[in-house]
Amino acid sequence: MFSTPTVVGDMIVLGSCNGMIRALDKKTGQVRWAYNIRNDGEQSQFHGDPLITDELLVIGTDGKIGHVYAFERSTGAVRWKYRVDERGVASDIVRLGNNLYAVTLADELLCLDLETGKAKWTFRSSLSGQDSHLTSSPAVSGDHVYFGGLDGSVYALDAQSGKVAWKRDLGARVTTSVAVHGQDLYVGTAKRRLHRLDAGSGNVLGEIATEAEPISHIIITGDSLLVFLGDDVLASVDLSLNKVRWAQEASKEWSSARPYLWRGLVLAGDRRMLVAFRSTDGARQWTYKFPETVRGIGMQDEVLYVGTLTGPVFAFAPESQH
Amino acid sequence: MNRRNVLKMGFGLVSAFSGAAKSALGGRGYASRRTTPLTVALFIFCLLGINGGAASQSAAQNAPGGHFLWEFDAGG
Repeated sequence: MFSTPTVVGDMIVLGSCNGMIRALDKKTGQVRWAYNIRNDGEQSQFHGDPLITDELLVIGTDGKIGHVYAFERSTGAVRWKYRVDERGVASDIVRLGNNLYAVTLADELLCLDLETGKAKWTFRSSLSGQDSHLTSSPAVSGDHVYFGGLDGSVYALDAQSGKVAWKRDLGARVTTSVAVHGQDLYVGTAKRRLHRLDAGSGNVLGEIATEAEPISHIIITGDSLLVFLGDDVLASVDLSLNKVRWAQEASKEWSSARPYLWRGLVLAGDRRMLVAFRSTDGARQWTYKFPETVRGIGMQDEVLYVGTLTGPVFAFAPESQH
Repeated sequence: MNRRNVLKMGFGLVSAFSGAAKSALGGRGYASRRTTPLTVALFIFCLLGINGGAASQSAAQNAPGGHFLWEFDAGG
């Protein structure tokens, strides 16, 4: 299971690698509803995290083809689905007003209508040919949607029209999702760099060389950001990108979909170990061993919903620091 | 090339066996590391013929440092 178990009201939603998406009772783990996406074509995976609205759960799927699905939260009925012929969607879904945004594995940004699932516009990066890397998730802020392409450029588009407001070539494949903090954007590239861009102009405000490729999601916390550098390093970098505040090396490799924030802690899977660090200084607080490789970590209050690569999901309540 | 950020292709190789499916589709290079020993809990599920979709409150162990509320085998 690649995607993050997601709390939806009194349920937890799991998108598995066997084509099943299920909503479980959060307290008991009993299945409330399930849907098999294999019935809709050659697709079986959920890589990105869903968007939750008052009524809907919207999530992308991938495989030979893929879709963006809008499920009714309470029943699992498909309200609408948008087919993506070229390998589907592995990004998170983000929302601005009545518009949804997702990035396809062909490096195309989609803008879909939340109510109908109809495409309002699409925009493809200048990537030529196929690239087997995961595409990054888009981000929205103000009137714009931002997306980092496999072609090495960050794009800002008018959220309503899809017109390009600016484009910034960073010289290498964008390897992280775009993170927005105020007027600043953060992305990492395959050149082993983190970049800070002005959201209004795309001008580069700062950058820092990293010991390995920044990957996955950049998580903003307080006055720093968290990011995996390759498979081995979890780093906290100050938002001006002047210095690495702390870094922690995995004993095996970081296996989580991203670093997760929970109660002042940074959680990450180190293969079978779930490890918690204090976000301010990176001090290790506790570890817990699971029977399988830890991947996505959902959370609510004192309970963690720990998804593993092979499929088991655990509702787990850590005790206080030990 | 880092391992976690790569989506391996190979959809056509999917078999009905979920473990093989993950190896084929695995993405992010975990296929070779998924052949780790199964947990006692999973073993119990297999004995019961449950391949995904099973919730259990007894299979997961409580241990110092936290407690399990339930475990669910999503099968992939």
